[in-house]
Amino acid sequence: MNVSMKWLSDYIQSHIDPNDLAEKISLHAQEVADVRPLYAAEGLVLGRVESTEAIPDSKNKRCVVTVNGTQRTIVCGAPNVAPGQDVIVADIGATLPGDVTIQKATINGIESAGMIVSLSELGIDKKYHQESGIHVVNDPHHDASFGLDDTVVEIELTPNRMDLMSMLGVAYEVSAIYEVPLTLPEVTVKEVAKVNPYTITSDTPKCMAYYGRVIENVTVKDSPEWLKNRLIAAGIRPINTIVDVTNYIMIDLGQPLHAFDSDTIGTQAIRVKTAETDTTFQTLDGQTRALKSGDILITDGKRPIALGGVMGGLDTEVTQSTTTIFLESAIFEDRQIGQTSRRLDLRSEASLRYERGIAHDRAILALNKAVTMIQALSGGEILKGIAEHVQTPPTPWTVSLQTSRVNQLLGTTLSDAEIKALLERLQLTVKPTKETLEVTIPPRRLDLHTDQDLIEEVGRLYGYNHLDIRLPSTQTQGYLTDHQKRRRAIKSHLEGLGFFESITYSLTHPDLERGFVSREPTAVLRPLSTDQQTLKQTVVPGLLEVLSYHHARQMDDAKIYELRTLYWEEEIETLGIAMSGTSTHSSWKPPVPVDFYSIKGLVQHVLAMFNVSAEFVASRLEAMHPHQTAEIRIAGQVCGFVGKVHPETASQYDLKDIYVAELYITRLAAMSDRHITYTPVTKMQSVRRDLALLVDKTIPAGVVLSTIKSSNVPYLVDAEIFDVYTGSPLLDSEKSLAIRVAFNDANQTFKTEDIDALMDQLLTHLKNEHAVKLRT
Amino acid sequence: MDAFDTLKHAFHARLKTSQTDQELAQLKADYLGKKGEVTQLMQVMKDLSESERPVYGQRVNALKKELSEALNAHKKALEKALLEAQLAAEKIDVTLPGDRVQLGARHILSSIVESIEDLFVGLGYQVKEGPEIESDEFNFEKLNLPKHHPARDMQDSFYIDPNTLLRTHTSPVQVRTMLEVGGQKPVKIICPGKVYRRDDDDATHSHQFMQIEGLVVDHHTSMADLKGTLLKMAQTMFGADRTIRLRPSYFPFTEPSVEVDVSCYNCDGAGCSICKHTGYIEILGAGMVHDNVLKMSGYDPKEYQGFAFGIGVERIAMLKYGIEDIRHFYTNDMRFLRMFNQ
Repeated sequence: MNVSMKWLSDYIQSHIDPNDLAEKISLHAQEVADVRPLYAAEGLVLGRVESTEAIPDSKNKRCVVTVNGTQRTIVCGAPNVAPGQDVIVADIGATLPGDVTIQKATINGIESAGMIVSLSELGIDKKYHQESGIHVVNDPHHDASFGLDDTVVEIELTPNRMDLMSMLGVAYEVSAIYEVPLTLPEVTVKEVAKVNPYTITSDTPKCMAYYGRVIENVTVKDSPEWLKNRLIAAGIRPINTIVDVTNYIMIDLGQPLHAFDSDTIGTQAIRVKTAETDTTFQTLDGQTRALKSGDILITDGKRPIALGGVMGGLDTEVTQSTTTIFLESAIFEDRQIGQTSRRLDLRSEASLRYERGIAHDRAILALNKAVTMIQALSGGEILKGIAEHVQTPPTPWTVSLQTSRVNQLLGTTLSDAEIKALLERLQLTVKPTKETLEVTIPPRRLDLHTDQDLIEEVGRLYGYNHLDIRLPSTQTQGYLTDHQKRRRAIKSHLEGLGFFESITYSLTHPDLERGFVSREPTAVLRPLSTDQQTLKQTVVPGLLEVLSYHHARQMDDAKIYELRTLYWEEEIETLGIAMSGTSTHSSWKPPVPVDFYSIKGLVQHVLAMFNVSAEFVASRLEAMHPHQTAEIRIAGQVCGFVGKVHPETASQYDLKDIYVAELYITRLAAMSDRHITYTPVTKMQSVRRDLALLVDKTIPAGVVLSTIKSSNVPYLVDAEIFDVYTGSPLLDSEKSLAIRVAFNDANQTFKTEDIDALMDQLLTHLKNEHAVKLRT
Repeated sequence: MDAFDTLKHAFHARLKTSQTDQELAQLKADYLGKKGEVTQLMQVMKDLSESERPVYGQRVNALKKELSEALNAHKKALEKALLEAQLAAEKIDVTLPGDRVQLGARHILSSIVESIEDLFVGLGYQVKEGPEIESDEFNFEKLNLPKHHPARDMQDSFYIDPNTLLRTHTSPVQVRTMLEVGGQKPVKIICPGKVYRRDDDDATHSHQFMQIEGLVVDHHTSMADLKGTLLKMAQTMFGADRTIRLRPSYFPFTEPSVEVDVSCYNCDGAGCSICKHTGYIEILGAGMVHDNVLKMSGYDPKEYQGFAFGIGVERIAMLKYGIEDIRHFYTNDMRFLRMFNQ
């Protein structure tokens, strides 16, 4: 809502500074977007062109202009400058938009004192006028409201404050904030004896009220300067007196109006109805609109003449030759106007007001004020009486307010009288009863229906900045859950190990995920782009994109992770890790490239944080290296995978030798056993023995290790692989595994024979399970 | 020069040239061994008188001790020289650079979320999380945004089906928490998480962003409590000298609703380009929980009331560090991420 300060002064006579108004409105009502002069210029004066004289060899003219009773010479290049015109002169020292300062200048050898300006030179956007030359002022004597020195305060309205979509509504608010008197509009209509011949009927409850007046013998013309300036201030383009008045009243009082050329309406019986599906109607912009059942149609009983609340018809439009006006002031159902205007993409200032809700008690005032203005500007006679159809007359309603509730919610200690006074500033009627304040709400404040609505009014007028500063007295324990703490620990550990946390978009293209997952992805209905159409089912491709970004910038030593939700049948928290480059960081020592075991070590570390023991099972994923990938299983459940990205996949990201892992944290957490048991540190030394085994090459080392660990050989506490060997002199089908095992018992030291016996037992078990041989 | 002196002289001459353990062992055997030179001196004892014997014996023992000590001292010196030679061979160039300690970094958005979590945990709040794919009911309807409400245009949200969407705020977590306690107990929570809106990505808009919402519901939770809480948060994020300002606003789920400004940390309220010469910067939205929301979450608004606030994490980071483009957060450039490591 653009508020013209000049316009506001129709209702608020007290002097108010626009910048102060902006600050107060923003602290007590709504956000203020801007405060700006209507004309971004200073030093403008009115002048009258007395004579013009062509200058030889130039398109410029020498003009004699009277400014404040004194004649001066101005050289002007505009083709439309002519004697007798009232014009705007930028005086010496005036500033115009674009940092232009007017100075005394000599043009074509003639000293020119100032400049006759066009609207464009004053910073008025072309959308508000079609002028190409200097601006000719059409009513220089209406100087009081001329508007050259007007200021516009632009208020951003929230959907609940549609009462501020009119100058009168803003005036109510300003009056309440400043505690200054409000001058309400009063209109006296001078009617002629001839009676308004129209009748109104309605077939639909969607038309709550419809009023019409007729004014005959008008002359449609250009609006006066002050009116145009106010419309431009409001953001509306001036057209002609009739259209301008309907727009003016809409901004002034919030009531949309529509003017018909009465002579083009076939009958004098207006009938409001709803449209039938599959009918069409030609709106005044020349478009043929397809109607739907429910759209509100204004008809003359035979054919539609307007799409109610949205747009008038082409056939009944007011033109330059119109002489009789039928002026409509109606109230239509908000929801229907919203639906129709959205469907037809016909949202206008009028439809917006209907949609958001207009004051239901201003339709007659608006109609009367409009015909009076039309008469003043375009002449004509106003016929006697208002044709009307009233379905639901506007009635005020009452809301009960308890002082205790006001104070409880705001944290204040306001008295009944203070609250009453605050609400009365808004011109609400407040009647105290024993327990409550009974507040009567006028139909202009459609947003006030509950006591909470009124508490907000009390709070904002009282001023939120006067509220106390306290903290809630609620006694509760604040803590992070174990899982939240562990999540932070995982991040800290990984960061300590050189990994950077990434946060990526959750929406992706399903093709990128192919080969990593084979679940049916969840798609959003109307994606913004094809790259963001489904929800992530795997972390890895997003991390590959991040690595690719770094590779393109010569950063190949990249280690990243992301802890994020994946969107399967349920949402699953997942840790993704990706690394490339080296595992050592020296500028001059030979680098050690990362490999499968680097990332597997990280995975094992994270698993250890959950105190779970996992199996790593060689497995295949299309997008992963077929022989360097393992599925991570815990108690038979898949909890992730780890391995090298398939070179073909990696090359799609312009990468190579990338190692990644994905761990399903939700599943780990569910299986995590964080119970801590204490056992005294053993005082006995462990006995270690080395075992060199020849085993079939196809048997994974992990399998041999778990065979050892599950052998039930007493006192066996640890087994660790310390060498793996293939090649000569072994057979091609064999490999050698060197394993160090440890025995310990808290209560005894072992003799050599004891250990020999235990080792025999272990070897026998291994021979039975895997047909191993001792390497000699 | 008697035999003692001769022997001593000869011993030292040999000791001087002995360079190996082996030579020293031989020297020891030759002089101090069973048949060594010093032992030989004892043979003379039998030819001496009773009175001469003790004196002579003492002299031999003294010599034995002296030679033995000399031998040990020489041995130690040799060992030391050997070690020094070895260490010399291990000489390195101490000016070559050391191995780099390569630390990673927490994402700046996570860091900010955690610092806000820590503040509120200290104030007795719990950190609640919830699903990102939400029902229309929890995301909108239970928050006083019925179907056809102007503030919930289909255009603005990523729907998955007519009743399911990517949450547009973390408020549904508040609804879930209130329903969990069945409208019978106070609630004091913050809800961080990812949220989604159907905005085209540009320097200031992102279709995905992080939000932290807070909710307190109790018998007497007031707007003054909200104000104190927000002031504490603003001071934690932007410095202890900051003040806040509340301006009326509108959200369907709160009433009264406010926008909250913090006094500009750059100019301290005097007006500068960061605060667009207003002295204040808008940082979040807040308000008193709407009665309808309380009712739909099982509370009796006559018994319980509460406040809620919501803050955009990216916006805080952008303000705090002067980051000019919201897309930087999702590029994950390590050089960018490293800058905020503390």
